[in-house]
Amino acid sequence: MSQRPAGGAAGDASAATTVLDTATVRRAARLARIAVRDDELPGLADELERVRVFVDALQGVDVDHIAPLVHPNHDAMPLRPDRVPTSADAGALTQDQALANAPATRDAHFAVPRVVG
Amino acid sequence: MSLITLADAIQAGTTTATLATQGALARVGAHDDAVGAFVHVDEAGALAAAAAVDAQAAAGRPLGPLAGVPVTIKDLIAVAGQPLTAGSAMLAGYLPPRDATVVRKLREAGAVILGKVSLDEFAMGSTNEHAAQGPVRNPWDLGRVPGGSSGGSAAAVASGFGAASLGTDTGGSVRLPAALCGVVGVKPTYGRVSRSGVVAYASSLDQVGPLTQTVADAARVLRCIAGPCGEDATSLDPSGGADAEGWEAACGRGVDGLRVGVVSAWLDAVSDDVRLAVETAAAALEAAGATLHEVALPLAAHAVPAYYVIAMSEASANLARYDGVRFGHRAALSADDDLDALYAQSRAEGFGPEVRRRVILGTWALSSGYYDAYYDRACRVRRLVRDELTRTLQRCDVLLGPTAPRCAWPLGEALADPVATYHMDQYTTAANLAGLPAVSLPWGLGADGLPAAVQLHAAAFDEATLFRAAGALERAAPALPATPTGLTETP
Repeated sequence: MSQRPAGGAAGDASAATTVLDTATVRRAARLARIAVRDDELPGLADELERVRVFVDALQGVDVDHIAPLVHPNHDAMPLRPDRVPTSADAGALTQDQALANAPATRDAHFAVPRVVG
Repeated sequence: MSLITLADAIQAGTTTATLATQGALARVGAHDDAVGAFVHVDEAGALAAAAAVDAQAAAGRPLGPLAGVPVTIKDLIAVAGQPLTAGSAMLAGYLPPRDATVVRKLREAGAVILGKVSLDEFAMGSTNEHAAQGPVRNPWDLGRVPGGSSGGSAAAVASGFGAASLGTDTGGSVRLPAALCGVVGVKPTYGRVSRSGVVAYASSLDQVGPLTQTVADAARVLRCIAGPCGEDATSLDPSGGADAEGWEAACGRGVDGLRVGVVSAWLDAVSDDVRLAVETAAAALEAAGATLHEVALPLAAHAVPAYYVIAMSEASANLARYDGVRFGHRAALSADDDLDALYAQSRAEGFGPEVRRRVILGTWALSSGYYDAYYDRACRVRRLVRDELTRTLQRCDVLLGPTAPRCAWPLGEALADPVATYHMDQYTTAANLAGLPAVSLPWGLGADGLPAAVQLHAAAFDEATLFRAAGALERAAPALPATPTGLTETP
């Protein structure tokens, strides 16, 4: 893999060292459940490492006493009432509608490969 | 013709919904082979909806605020009876069971839905080149990008394929293509518009917004789609609906005494024609009675990297639903493949390269050992960016700056260097991180004869002031040619 430049990431040393090597990208792709062929890995790792170097500018920002903000308008994620919708509710799906876009169904269920032997 | 002019003419009986719809469909037939905005044209449905409006008018019944107006919908938003692909091979053949809330509201207002328009796959892109159906071309120069991700929406409005389009804006995806195509694009305050029935990309950033030819047109469409909805717990309206009633009038109110912050640092890295557009726009607001205030937003410089980390992380969670089981592409399996292979192979085949990059990086940024340094840190920077903008918008009523660093660029550039394209979002992502409303509006033609644009931000839930400033700017803006230059060259 080619040597990455420091990328002006606020002088952060990690920008000069490859973080997203092929082993790390293979692990992340596995966690993301996306199959990546071995011959694709070096090119993909190179692309992802370039993005990481770009976002690494964040390492230079002082956030020591700053709380994370995960939502612009609310301190906590707003929740709807915990209630099971019935077929009378607007937008509720029938069983046929729920199954209509499935790639495979069997006996009114979503069909998948055998999970237990 | 503007949306309001058309709606007024239909109300007055000087034209009909059917004529307006036939006219829009004829333009699509004449020019969309060259532009490539549409992924699905619903000619029969549109003509039936138009006939229903005309029947209503003939019977003397009151018409809605969008009655008979042809519109298009970004193919990230569900329209019952029409395919929903999100620009992805993953959703080829998917048929949504019902309308998104915004589409239901458009229909209730009388709008005629012409069809679905193109986008970057799952709204991830700034050029509309990452689309399973192929790129959209800029109507002002067919060799250039329309911007993204709502590139089909912007190209459609610029080409006269309907008077308005609904796009979505996660990091600038309504405003950037609006800027590059010479139309108006509004990103409402986060929560202003329901996201129910909209394919999720980054849920704490996504908002639906209108693209139109004029500012008042955008105000009218936004009024029709705004408001809380029981199917989106984040949707809200602190004014209880009162705000929206005043938006159209606000466009004509003028800016006497309005405090306009000009973000000087945002002019350091833009092309000469974009800088000139912003400077001329600032002078025009001052001449109209506003006061100018130079503002510095040092923390907003970190918005783009924070945005990309947060958007990719949220995308990795949202796009986990595409597993080849309930909907979407399923890989052909051999007899000994297990469920895990079904997931991994289906996702490898269904997602394009930019989506694959963002989902894998987002997964990595949330993973053990990296979460604190990337996702958590980006969320802390998000607070800094929001607080800086909120403080600044207590001293100023609106902020003026560029939308994009340059006018439309040639097709192919972004595909060669994806990271360089992320810089095109440098003036748009802060509004999404902070949840603020913002608008891009055209400001004449730049040096290459391509549309230039300026952007305004306002405080959360203060669309009224945003429309007030945007309306004044529009009255002062240099006029654009009536027909985009790329279309006049089409045989």
